[in-house]
This record gives sequence, structure tokens and C-alpha cells, in this order.
Amino acid sequence: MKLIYEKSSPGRPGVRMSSIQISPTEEIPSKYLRSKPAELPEVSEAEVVRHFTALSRLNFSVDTHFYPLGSCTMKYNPKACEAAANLPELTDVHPLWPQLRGGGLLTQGSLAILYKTERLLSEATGLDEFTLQPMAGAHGELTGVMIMAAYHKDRGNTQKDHILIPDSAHGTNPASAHLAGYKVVTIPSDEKGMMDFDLFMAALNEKTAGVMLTCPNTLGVFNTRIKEICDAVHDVDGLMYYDGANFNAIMGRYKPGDMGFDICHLNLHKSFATPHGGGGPGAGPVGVVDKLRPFLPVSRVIKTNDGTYSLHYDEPKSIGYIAPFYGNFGVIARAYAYMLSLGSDGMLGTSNRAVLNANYLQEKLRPLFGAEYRGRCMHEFVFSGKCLAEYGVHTLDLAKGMIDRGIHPPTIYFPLNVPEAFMVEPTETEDRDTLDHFVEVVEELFDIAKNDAQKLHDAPVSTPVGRLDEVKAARDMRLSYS
Amino acid sequence: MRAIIYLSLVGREGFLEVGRDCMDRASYAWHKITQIPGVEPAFNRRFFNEFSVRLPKDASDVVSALVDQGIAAGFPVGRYYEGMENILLLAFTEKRTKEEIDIMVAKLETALKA
Repeated sequence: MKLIYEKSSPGRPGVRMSSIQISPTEEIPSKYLRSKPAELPEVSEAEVVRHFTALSRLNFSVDTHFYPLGSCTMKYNPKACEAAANLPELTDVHPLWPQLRGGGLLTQGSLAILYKTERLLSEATGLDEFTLQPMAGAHGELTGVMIMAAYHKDRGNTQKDHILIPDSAHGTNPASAHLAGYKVVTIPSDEKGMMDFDLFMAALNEKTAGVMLTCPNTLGVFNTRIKEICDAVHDVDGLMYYDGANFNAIMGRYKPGDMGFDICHLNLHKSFATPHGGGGPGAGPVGVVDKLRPFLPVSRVIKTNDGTYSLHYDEPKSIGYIAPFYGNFGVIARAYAYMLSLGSDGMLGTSNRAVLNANYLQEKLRPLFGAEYRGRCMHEFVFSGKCLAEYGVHTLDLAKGMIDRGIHPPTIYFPLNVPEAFMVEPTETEDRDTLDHFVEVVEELFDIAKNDAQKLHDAPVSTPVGRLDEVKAARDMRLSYS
Repeated sequence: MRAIIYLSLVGREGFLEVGRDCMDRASYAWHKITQIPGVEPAFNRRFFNEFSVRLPKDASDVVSALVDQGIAAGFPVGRYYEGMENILLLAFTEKRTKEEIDIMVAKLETALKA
């Protein structure tokens, strides 16, 4: 496919603004002018639209393909929520307005969305207060751990020096704990895929600042001893951190606050159906129990006695600013529209279908992978592709074969504690036909693996470029055009 | 993505025109605003599409008064710089029309008289 520059023709106009001069020409001294025009393409509007539409067709996306990327909750983003968040009344508001005298009057709608989104998230999680400022899940984690540190400092808990994290956690958990100044103690998983309870109890002591837990975890397993864990951590004045990456599995059914968690981040770009691909932008709101309210970042959106909304900065124990302005407002507005469209019944239906779809696929695929039954999963499951090792085929080959069959590969080689991991999260937005087709494709790929392995080593063959050296592409990227 | 699509659409000539239009609007607005009695340029410097003026009263009060009339009339610099409470920072882009600027200037003049 040609580059847009290669479609350029000198003098061909694209989109023109109405260039009507309204003031006597004010000349810019020539020393400030560039010596030659910017090297931009000269193409018609139709050509630009066709060019970028054609480029987009080279991508896999939720709008074009089944996208069962485990742990990422790549659910369909309803177009109604996109439309709501794109209303000019929301997109044309300048973020400085609510900070200027009288400016709050021009932004009551936006402030109301922030305030009401916080209330809805509180209801969904059972936590008392929320901040919407973190720009992504990992940013939410760091904010949460900073709140944890501020709490211990305020309490005079100077002995707290480490956080317990199970080995199935997302890598961002230990990274966030470390950035906030804590040592990380990793707890191995037991044979059921849960954090090993006895090893956890042995590691827990007065120096434990808290525990970061994803529940259900990355293996799709719900920790059935969660109440005992929370009680034990609270006994040493530790705090329980809920990583909400997998909230889509429990939304509307359980509340982290009811389980005993004190802090929780949610990935709006996962469970709340906001765009996720292309680097986001994401949003990682953080909820806390009442006793941690004073430590939340500023600004806070408050509702005043006359029913109007304003920003509040006077929080002496706050961890301070963690982001400019108020978080990724466009993402928050989409999530707000999504929650209103679901209602509480819809939230429960969403997680129920997400869990049902995952269990359906798990049972359909179990015989192929030769995986033993370890109970039902939640919203995702992990199998090991090591059963194909005897044919010289790896999980990577399966993934590449899927691309040729119009399916975005599941997550592979994560979590790290499962060899040749193959991690599937179908989400609630897929129907049974799509799931059955996925099963047929995996069956076909297993057949090929056993009979003609080279064919899978060569995949993908239907894409603009074949199999790339992914490590080299990531570590030694040279993007050039001449 | 939006930026590369935008640049592809306006292209080589259009990009220049956007720059010229920004300067044109700002220049027109500067002449109109500095003719209002009591309003002076804050700095005697060249500008492109953004300039500051010194008002005869607190710029926050003026911005606040214009908010009631549906106009976002610029940024009161005193919010960030002590001693500059009367200075208003204004920016004009290719999106603004002569009519919009005329209305804004008229309302600014009214607000300053109040």
C-alpha cells in the first residue's frame, strides 16, 4: 500500500478553511518564516478518507474481529456511548473553566458527570469514595498504593515496609508497590491456582503494609478464602488492595468493599466498555473505604448545598496531584453512559454472560488441550499449549494461525506461572456462533499442528507482512521513510 | 491519529493558510480591543495568535462577567502570576469569525464600563 505522500500531487487542495482576511495584513518578518513549506501531502479529502480507511482495514479490531485477548477484556464498545461522549457540549469544554471564577457555571454538566460517575462506581464496588483522576490501570495502582502509604504514615505505622503480592499478579502490581517505596514479597500459587494460603499466612506480619490481590485472578480463579485473608490483614492494620482488572467477572454480583477490600482500582477501558486499543487512553479510577477518604488526590468534585457542583482542593492529608485536571474525561463520559445504559440488572447480566461464555469455551476446548478439570472458571481461563510440544508446535504458532483465520489471538505466555500459556477471555459481547467458530478454528489448528507443523510455523500468510521478529521489532525499531 | 489525518487534509498550502488566518484574527482583535478606552497592550512585543492586554480592572471579574453572557473571554493571568491581576490573555484561531470577534469586543467594552 502506498504512503499518503506517494499519493500527493503538487497544488492539489485538500480541505480548505474559509480564508477570508479580516485585518490589514500584518507581515511576519522574513527571519521568522521557514525557508520552505512544511513537507505535507497534497491530496483530496476523498483520497485521505480512502487512505486511512484502507489502513484501518489492515488492523484487527473489536469492530472487525473476535478479540479474545485474556486479561484485557476487549469487549465491544457500544456506539451509543461513543455518541454521548462526543456531544460538543462535552468535547468543547476547556478544562480550566471550572477553576476560574464563575467558570463553574459553564461546566455544571461535566462536573455532574464526574460526580455521578463516582457515585455509580461506589455503588458497584461497595467503596465509599472515588477519584477518577488516574489515567490508566497502573496509574490507579500507584495512586492506591500511595494512599496506602499515606494512611500508614498518618497512623505512625513506621514499621510497614512490604506488600504481599501473589505470583499470578499482573506485573504492574509489584512495579506500583516498588515505585511507592515498598518491598515486594511474592506469594506462590497453590495447585488450584489461588494464592497459597499457608504461605501467605507465614509471610504476613506487623511489617505488612497491605496485600494486592486480583480476584478473580489472572487464571480466572476466584479466591474462596478472601474473607479470611482480609481479616488476617486487617488484624495487623494492613490494607487490602483490589486490582479491578477482572471486575468484569463480578460486576453486579459481588462488591470488593463487601469482601473486605479497602482500596480498589477499576479499568474503565476494560469492564466499562471504553476504547482500549491503540494505547487507550485508559482510565483507572480508585475507590477507597471511608477511613482513607482524606488521602485521595485533589481536586475533588463536590456537590454544594445549593445543588451545584464545584471543585474542592482543601484536603491537608491528600496525596496531592497525580494528574492534570480531572482524569481522561472523554473516557469517563463513555463509562458513565455505559453504566446508565446497563442499570444494575444490566451489570449483573454482563458479568453473568462473561462468565458463562468463558466456561462454555473452557469446556469445549478442554479435551483438545488435555487439561484436567479444576473447577469452573470466572470470566477467563488459561490452558497450556505444551501438549503440542511433541509436534514441535508452540502456543505462538497457534496464535499466528488464528490471525490467518480472522481471529485476534488470545493472550499467550501470560500468566508467567503457566508454561506455554494460552489465555482466553471471550467477554459477554460474543454470541454462541462466534464461540463455536473459535472452537472450530482451534480444532483445525490442532489438526494442522499434528499433521503439517511447518504450515503453522509459516503463519500468518494472509497479512501484509508475515511472521516478524517481535523482539527485534520491539527493541530495535527503526521507522523510516525516504 | 487525528493529528496526522488533519495534517493530511489541510496539506501543504492549507497549513500555511491556517497560520495566516490565526494571525489575521488575532491582529484584528488586537486592534479592536486596544481601542477600548482604558485597555492597553500588556507587552510591547510582536505576537502570532495570542496576546495579553492590561485592563482597567481585575481580569477575573471581567471574565466572570462575560461568562454570564456565554463568552469564554480569555485567561486571567493573575491566577498564575502575582501582580498581574489586571492582565487578560487572549488567543484567536482560524475558527473565529469577524462577527464573533466584534460581539466579544462589544461585550468586553460593556463589562469594563460596568
